[in-house]
Amino acid sequence: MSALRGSLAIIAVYFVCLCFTHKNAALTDDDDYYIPAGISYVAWLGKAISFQPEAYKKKTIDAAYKINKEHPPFAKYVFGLSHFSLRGLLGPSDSARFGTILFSSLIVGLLCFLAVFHFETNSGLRIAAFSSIMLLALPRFNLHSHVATLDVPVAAMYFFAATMVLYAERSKKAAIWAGPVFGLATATKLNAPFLLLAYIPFVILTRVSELKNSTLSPRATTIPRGVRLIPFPAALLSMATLGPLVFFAIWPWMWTDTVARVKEYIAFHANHYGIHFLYFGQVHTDAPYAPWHAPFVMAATTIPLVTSAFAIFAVIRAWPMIQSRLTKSSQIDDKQRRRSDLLLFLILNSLTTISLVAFAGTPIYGGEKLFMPFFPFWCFLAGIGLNNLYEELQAVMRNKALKLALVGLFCSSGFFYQWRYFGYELSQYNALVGGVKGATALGFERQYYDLAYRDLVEWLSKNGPKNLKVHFLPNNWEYVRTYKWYRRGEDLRSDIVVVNNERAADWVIITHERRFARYSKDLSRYRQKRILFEKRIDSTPIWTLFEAKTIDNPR
Amino acid sequence: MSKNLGIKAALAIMSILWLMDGYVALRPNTSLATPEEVQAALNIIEKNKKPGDIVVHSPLLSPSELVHLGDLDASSALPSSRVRNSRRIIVLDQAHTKMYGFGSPKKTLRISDGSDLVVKVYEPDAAHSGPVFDLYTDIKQVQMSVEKPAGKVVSKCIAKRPSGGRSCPGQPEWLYLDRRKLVINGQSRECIWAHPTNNGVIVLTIPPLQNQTQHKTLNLKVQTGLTDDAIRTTPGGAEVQTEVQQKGQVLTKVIAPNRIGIYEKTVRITTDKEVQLRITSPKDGRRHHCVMASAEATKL
Repeated sequence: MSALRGSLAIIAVYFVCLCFTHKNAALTDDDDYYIPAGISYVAWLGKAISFQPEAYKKKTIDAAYKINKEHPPFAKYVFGLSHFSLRGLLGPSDSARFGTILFSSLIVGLLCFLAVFHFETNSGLRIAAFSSIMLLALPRFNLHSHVATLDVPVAAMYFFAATMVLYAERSKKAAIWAGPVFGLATATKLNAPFLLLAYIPFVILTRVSELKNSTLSPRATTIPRGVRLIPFPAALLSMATLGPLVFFAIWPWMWTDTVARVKEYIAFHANHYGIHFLYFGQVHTDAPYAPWHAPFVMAATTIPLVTSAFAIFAVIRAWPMIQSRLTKSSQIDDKQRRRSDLLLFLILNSLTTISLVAFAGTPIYGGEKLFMPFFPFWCFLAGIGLNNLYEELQAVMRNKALKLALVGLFCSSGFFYQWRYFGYELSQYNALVGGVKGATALGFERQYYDLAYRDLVEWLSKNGPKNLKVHFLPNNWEYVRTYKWYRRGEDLRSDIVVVNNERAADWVIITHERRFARYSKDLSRYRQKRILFEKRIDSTPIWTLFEAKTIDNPR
Repeated sequence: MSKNLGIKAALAIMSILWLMDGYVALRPNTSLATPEEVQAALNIIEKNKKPGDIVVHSPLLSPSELVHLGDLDASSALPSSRVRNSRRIIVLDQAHTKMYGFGSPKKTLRISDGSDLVVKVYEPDAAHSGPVFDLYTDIKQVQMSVEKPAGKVVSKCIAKRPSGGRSCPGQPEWLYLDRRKLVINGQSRECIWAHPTNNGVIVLTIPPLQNQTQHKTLNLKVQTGLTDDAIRTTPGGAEVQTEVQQKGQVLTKVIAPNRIGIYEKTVRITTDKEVQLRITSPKDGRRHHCVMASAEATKL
C-alpha cells in the first residue's frame, strides 16, 4: 500500500468513527461561549471579504469580536464556518462542533505524515494506525474531539506546529511554514506558544551534540570550543517573525488598542479565576491550587493502562538510540538520526505539555482538559511501542494475521471504556484506580464540564409531562445555557424548559459533583423525594432525577 | 533465548494490563443496598453516635439508598484534616470500595455477612489538637433567633428552608441559618450566613460543649467578614458587630467594617454553658456578613 493511500485510509476511518458518534457527545458549558463567538466572527468575515465598508470600522469589529474576547479566534472561525455550512444537516450546535472533528482528524493526518516520514512506509503506516486507534479509543480525548471548545483544536494546532518544526530539521520550506503554522496555533489558544519549551531544549541538545561531534571546517576550528554558537534554526526565526504577524492578522480584536488588549489577554490567563477541582477528597479552588502532581495523576488514572504501558515501553526502547544521537552524532546514519530526533521530540513534548499545567502556578482544574496537547504525543509514543512489540514478535510468532490480531487487541483496550462510558466519557477512569467507582471513593470527581447528557435529554423528551419545568442542582445556570441549544436543534421537546427558580421546577436533576459546596446539602434536601430515574455507571451514581412536585397534567 | 524471554515477559505484562482494563470497564453494576441493610446501618450509627460526632457516607451511595437514612445529618464531603484529627467520625462506607481519607478505623461494624455496607468509627488522633466544635461543620447544633428589639425574641429560625438550612418565620427571606461558600478577602470561604437586621439582633446560640470534650474551658475563635462584592458595591456601608456572650456577660466583640478582610478575636469559654454570637448593625443594607467560629483546647 502506498503511504498516501494508507494514510488516507487511516484518516478516513478515524474521521468516520468520530462522525458516527458525534450526535452522542454531550454539550459542555463551554460550547455556549464558543459557538456564538464563532458565528459572530464568521458573520464579520463575510462582511470583510465582500468589502463592505463598515466591516473595517472599529465599532463593527469590536461588536463582532467582543464575544469571548479572552481567547483568540482561529478555532472559532472553524466552528462558525462549519455551523453555517452544516446547520441544515446537523442543527445549530452539532454543526459548529463538527469543526472540532476536523481538528481531531488533522492530528491523525499529522501522525501519518510523521510516522511515514521517520520510519519506512510499512512501519510508518502501522505506527500511524496503532497511534490513531489508541487516540480514538481514549474516551476523554474522544469527547473533547466533539465539542466546540479550544482544547482539541489547540492540541491539533500545537501538534501541527510541532510537526512543522521537526520537519524543518530537513526541509527549508517547512522551516518557513513553521512560522505561520505556529501563528495559527497561537491564535487558537494560549497553550501553543509553550511549544518553545520543548523546541528550544531540542534545538540545544541536538545542535550541541552536532557541534561536539562534527568535523569542523578549518575556519571554525579557530573559534574556541566554548564560544562556538549553536546555529540558529530557521524555523525559530520564522516562528519569531511570521508567527506574531499571523496571530495579529487573523485576530481583528487586536488591530486597535493593541497594547492594552494584549495586556488584557495575558492578564486574563495569568490571573485566571479559580475553578473547583476535587482531588483526593479536597476541593481546590483558590491559590494554593491543586498540587503539582494532579495533572500527572489524572493522566495516569484516565489513559487506558495498555496505552501508557506501550508509551513507556517506547521511551525505554528509544533511550539508547537518543543517547547515541546526542553523544555520537557523527557515527550514526541519517535514518537513525531522524528517528531519534522524532523520539526525543515526542518525549520532550510529552513532558512539557503536562508539566506546563503542573508547574505554571495557575489554577489546575477539569481533569485532563488543560493538557490536551499531551495526548497526540503520548499516543504516538504508544504506537511506536506497540510497533516495536509487533516487530519483535517475529521471533516467537510467524503468522502475520495472528500478530496483527494480538496487537490489535492491545491497542483496542480503550474501546472497552468507550463502550462502558459511551456518552459519559468524562466519567471514565482506568483500572489503576478501579474505574469511576474506585476514583469516586478515592475522592476524584466523577464528572465535570456540566455535561448536558444526551440520554437524559432523550429521556426527558420521551417521558416528561407537557410543559415540564426542570432544574439542575448544584449548577443550574449552565444547563439553562446548554439546553437552549438542544431545544433549538430539536433534540429536546420544545415545551421542556430549564427554569432558574428551583421552586418552580416539576423535576429536579442532581448531578453528583462533590466539588460544589452545596452538593451535600442538595442531596440531603432531596433525600426524601421520589426518584424517577437514575444514571449509574460502574455502580456509581452520576445523576438522579427527582420529582420535585406532583404534576397534574401527565402527558 | 533471552530476547524471546523479554518478548514473552512484555506480552505477559501487556496482557495483564489489558485484562485489568477490560475487567474494570466491563464489570456490571453491583446491586443497591436493600432498605433493610440501610436501616440496619442507620440503627448502628444511631447506637454508636455521641454528641459532636460527624457522620459521613460514601459518595458511592445512591440517593435510592440514602433515602432510608431519614433525617440523619450525614454528607459525602470529606471533613478537613483538622476536623478529622480532632473529631470522632462515623462513616457509612462500602466494604469493598472504601472511602479515602480517614486512615484506620477504631471499629468496623458489619451490617450482615452478605452486605457490602459497613459502619466505621474513627477516633481522633490524641497527638493532634483541633476544634471540638466548628460552627460550619456543626451547624445542626446551632440555634438561630431574631430579637427585635434586643432581648425580645420575635422569631426562632426553625422552619425548613426550601433551598437548605432554616428560615425565620415572619422575617425577610434573607434572614436564615445556613452554610455558605462566599468570597471574603479574595478567597472562597466556608462560613455561616449572618445577615444583620435593622433595629434587631441576630442570635446564634452554640450549645454547651461539655458532652463533646473533657475540657472545662475552650478557646473560641470567631472570625467575621463581609463579602468582597458587598463591600465593593456599597460605599459607605455600615459596620457589622458580633458580640460573644456567655452567662449574660460580653466576652468580646468582633467588628467587621466596610473594608475587605477577615476580622477575628479569640476568647476563653466554659463548656458548661451555651455561648451566644449576637450580630447587629446600624444599617442592614447589603450587609452580606458571614461568621466562622471554632472552639478548641489550646492556649490563648
